[in-house]
Amino acid sequence: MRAGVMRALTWRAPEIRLRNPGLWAIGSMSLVASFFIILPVLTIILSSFRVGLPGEFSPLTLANYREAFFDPFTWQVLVNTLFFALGTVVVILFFAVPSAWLIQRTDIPLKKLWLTLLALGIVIPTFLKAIAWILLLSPQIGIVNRLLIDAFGLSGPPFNIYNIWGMSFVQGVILTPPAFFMIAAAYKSMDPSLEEASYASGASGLVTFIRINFPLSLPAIIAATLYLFITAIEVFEVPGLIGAPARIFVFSTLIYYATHPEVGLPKYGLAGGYGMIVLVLALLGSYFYYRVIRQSHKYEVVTGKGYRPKLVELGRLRGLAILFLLIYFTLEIFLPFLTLVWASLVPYIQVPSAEAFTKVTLANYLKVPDYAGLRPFLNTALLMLIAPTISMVFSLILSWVVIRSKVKGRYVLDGVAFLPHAVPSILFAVALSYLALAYREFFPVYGTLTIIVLANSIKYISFGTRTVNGALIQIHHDLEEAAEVSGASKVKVLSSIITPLLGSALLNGWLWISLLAFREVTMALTLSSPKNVMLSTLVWNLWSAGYVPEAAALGVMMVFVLGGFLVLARKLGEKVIGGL
Amino acid sequence: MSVEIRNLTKVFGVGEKGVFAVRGVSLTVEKGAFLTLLGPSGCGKTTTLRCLAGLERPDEGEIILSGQVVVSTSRGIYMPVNQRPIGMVFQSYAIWPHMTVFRNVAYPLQSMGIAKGEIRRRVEHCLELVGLGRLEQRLAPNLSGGEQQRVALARALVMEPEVLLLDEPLSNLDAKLREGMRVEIRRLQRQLGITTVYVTHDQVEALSMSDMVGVMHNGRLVELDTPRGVYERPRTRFGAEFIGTANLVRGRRSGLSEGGWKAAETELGTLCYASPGCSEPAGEEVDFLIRPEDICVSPHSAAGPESNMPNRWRGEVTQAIFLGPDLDCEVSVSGVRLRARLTRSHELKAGDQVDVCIDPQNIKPLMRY
Amino acid sequence: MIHERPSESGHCWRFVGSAWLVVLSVSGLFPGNGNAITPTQAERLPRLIEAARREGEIDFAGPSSLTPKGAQALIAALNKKNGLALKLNYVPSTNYPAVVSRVITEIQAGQAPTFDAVYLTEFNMAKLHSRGFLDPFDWRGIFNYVTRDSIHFDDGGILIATIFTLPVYNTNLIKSQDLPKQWEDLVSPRWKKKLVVAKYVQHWVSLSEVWGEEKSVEFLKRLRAQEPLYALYPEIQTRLASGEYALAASQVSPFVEVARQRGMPIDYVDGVTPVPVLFDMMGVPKRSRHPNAARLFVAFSLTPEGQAVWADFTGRSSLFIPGTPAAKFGRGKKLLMRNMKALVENPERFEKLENKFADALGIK
Repeated sequence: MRAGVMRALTWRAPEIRLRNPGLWAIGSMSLVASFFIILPVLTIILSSFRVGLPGEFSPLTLANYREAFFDPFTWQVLVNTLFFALGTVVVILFFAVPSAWLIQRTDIPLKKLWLTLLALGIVIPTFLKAIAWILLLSPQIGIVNRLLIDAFGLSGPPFNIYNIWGMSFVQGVILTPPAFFMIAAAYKSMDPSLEEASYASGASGLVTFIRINFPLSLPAIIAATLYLFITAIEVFEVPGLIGAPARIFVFSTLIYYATHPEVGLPKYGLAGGYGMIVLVLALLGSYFYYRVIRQSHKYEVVTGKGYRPKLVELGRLRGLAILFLLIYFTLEIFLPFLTLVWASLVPYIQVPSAEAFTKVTLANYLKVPDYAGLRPFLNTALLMLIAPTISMVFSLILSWVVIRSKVKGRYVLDGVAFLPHAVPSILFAVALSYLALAYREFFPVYGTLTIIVLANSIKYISFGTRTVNGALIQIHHDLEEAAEVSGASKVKVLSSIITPLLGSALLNGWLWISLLAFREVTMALTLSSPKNVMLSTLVWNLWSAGYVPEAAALGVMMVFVLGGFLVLARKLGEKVIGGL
Repeated sequence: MSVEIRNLTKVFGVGEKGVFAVRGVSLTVEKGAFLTLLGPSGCGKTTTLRCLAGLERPDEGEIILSGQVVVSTSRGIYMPVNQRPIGMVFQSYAIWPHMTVFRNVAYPLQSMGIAKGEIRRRVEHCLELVGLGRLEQRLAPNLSGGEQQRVALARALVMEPEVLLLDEPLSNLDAKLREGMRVEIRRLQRQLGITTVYVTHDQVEALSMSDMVGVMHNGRLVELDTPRGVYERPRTRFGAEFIGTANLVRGRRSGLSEGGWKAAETELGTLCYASPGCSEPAGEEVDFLIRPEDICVSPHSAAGPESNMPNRWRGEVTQAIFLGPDLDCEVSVSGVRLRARLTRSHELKAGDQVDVCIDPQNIKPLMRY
Repeated sequence: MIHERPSESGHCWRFVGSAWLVVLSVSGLFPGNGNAITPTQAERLPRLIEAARREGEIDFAGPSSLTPKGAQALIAALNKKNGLALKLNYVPSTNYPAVVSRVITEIQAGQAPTFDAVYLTEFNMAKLHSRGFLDPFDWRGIFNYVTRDSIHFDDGGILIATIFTLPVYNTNLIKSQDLPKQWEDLVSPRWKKKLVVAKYVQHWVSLSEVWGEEKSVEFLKRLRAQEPLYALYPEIQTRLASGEYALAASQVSPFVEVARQRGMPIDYVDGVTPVPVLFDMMGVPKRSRHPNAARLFVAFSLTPEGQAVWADFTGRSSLFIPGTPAAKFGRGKKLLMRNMKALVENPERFEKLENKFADALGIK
């Protein structure tokens, strides 16, 4: 009889498999994301084997690689790039590690203020910050240099921004906030009993930080370092503004000038060839990144239990700690912002002087409405709302598949999610633009706002998946299995358990991507059309037309608007997450 | 038959690096019975449970839950976890911290798409059942360990599953609470008549709660019997040593029989034992199990051992530890150290000469394993 | 091609007058030229305006210094003059070659270009022209004020602004007696590490017509040896105004005009000769979506009203149009005009020179 029952049961087999549409949905979403990432990357690779403009179909050739590889200049650039990236991460670590510890694990006051400032810094456009630093550290007019010369009677300027270290310093200061948030997560989730055991052994707060916290957070620090190393290889603005005028080139500037030449036509193929070198560098970096991440599971000190970590009492060192943060924010926000405000108040950019103060005017602010209609604001708002949403939804799905599923090749998927970070933005945008042009009948997004949103959504999937990966690892697997045992489908588990549990991580990631998309200018410029002007491209255009005061005025206004947005988003987020 | 496992095998890793977590486990649990899987960490008990739940996919074997084949590798049947008629309690409780107690317990019913009023009725009933009626609106992180445990239990029971699975549910509780919960879980299980599979490494839990105990070792099910059965008549050396304390004496069957007992030559001398209904070949090496409480120790009498009593030797106390109700005693007989548990009325100390005797009924030959 | 401006001016106008007559008579004599029935000029303008009205808007890639405000001023003036309500969608081009490559890519993909009208330098316009991607138009058949001097690239490109290129300096930082007297003075050791050099070579290409290739390359190499700071034109302005650098080897007139408007302490180094004159042009690419509105817009930029707006916002105007700031500036100067005939006939030669000079200057 049993045999009969069982035979009857075998009929159910296919039905059971097909009754899992949720899994299909998750799988196909992963594939869609991969498709949108891989296609532009393949386009870039293909373009590096062609010469001429996209669409002028030339035969496949190695000419670009010949030009790139047989030029000793390329190797000089490689050395520059590596030193620049290295210098940048050194500066980042110098600021990010102590501030992460101070804000997460000590009783330093005004934590909310520091956190808001960290996020606010991102709002000031990078190129405006770079200009501020030129005004501060240029050997000719640098305010800091002048003050030091006057104060100590020096014969020459002590600082020169026009070298690799000057570039690294500025870039490092600018990239510290993302590093802070990556490292802070590790400190936040560290089991406090490990620290307490150190205190019980008679160690002081500082010794505990150096001997316990720091080594335990090392995987997170190394991971953040590698991630930002790759970022530093790819960023354009600081090397473009500070390095290139002094003929110090890195790959990102080389790629920019290959696609935006002053002489001749853009060489997208050559740019693609350089891009491949960057890609290889970045993939090497990401290989180490993965090794660190894998090993970090050994260090996994997150128990998933609810606990309130004990905060280190700074005592007499409190003043020193605050001073450290103040110095950082002076470098990252106050000085550049003051410079920005100054630049927005004078008819043309000049060093502050008694004479200059007589020229101070609000005229530049009054001109802003003429330069920016309503459209850039609307476009930017849409971008800031839609791009992070798409990015985080895909990040959540990809991360979940990578961290929690047992699908074969899931690590490949993680590698794919990392790709957009490894590819220079300009090339990514050029490829996307060409694809949109070539396939406009199937996918009519060429020259629209949609394509800028799409580009940002894809570009920041790397950042999103890193954020979600880190947070997902910390959520006890049982919480998910308990839901499955309770009869929930995978999709329901994702929506009703994981998403709310990841709440603050998702919100944070969303907010960051929103700000990054707001600031993003290279892709938006490449994809621009009359219909999709962004605030960032507007500021860039004003600046590049020599309208520095107007650009500064717009920049100052953006800082205020986004500062408000930031505070509001935080409040709203706390409310939503707290309400769950 | 409510739970049936046939030849269950699960390998972690692939190829050369593959490790057998479970190999060839077969067992059945009667409807309404309480089976405990007992074993040290890494023995495969949790993996077996997870295969039952559908959280792991076995490499081989069949699983039948209340008459329904949920896994059959040979026929390509695999029912995903969320469709199986089970409830499960996790070691970490896995109470969702972002939900209230009520919503935690209501979750399985929502997944089943049950009407709101019905959900409320059943959740309240269930919380009442586990004694948490007043905490409905509390957020999970604000619960004590014992309360979380009860929420987890309520959540597992609320959909009235055919089979209840519990994965070391008591291991995070303190000793006092654990004792209470043991009784409580067993009471609930009896009251609801729900077939239960329970995983633990704690033998007291296993022996006190179960109808059947399965002992696992290296992925194999080495014992499967009633609690009394696994304690008194283990089949394997591992089973004997893992549960309680075991004196193991190695010997060779002599084939002789003295006074109705079978006999073997051991380090202690000739050992008589009872082995009903078996006729093992002589000359085979065999381990004998002697439980400490089955060893009688008395101060040495000058009269000497009565020669007509089997299993009577002379020995010397090497260690005696007073434990309150009991006296834990180590006796050396012909160089073999035996642990004996005596009542506190015995007043022995190290160096005392003693007579040692063991009833042949209490000596069990073990399977070679 | 060195012209003494005053004498050339008069000659030029006489010539234009006669040419205009010739065109008129030719179009009257041969009605098969273009359209089946060639309407008179009086009929054609309203037709064009009507077609533009139907198109409604213009997508325009203009210099970023025009700014959205300037673009609105332009279209407002055009609308007022013609009784229209056209919309100008202006995209600032920060890099002309990128605009050119985009238009080429789009046309080659068989699509209408993003831009109905483009504003480019003559070298960049040449790249569109050599591929046949500029839409030729009988400008003079409709707009009688458009002179021959303004029509180039086989009726495909209209000269909107003449750009003068000279060294410039911060008037607060250098005394006039210390200024360079001629181009060659820029390579004096006095300016080592103290010079800003533009990342363009068009004007050096012009100078090479006088100097010869060899001398030019030698000069640029020595300029490079000065270890200058390399910058784009707007950036030169910023670096000079802020006082970071005192002297720029070259700057183009629009930025000097704007600098003066804003009260920046920047001025030309006077007396350096000859003055290379570059030609900024506008054109309508093939397959444009709004070609009639675009043509109207391009032609309007040559009217006195249009030139005034361009001059106000960008400091750009054409010396071929009387009364403009450029016409005033050019008066009495030894100007070195771009040889357009040579450029149209052999654009490759110029491209080669550009590359060679960029190489020598170290900006490649």
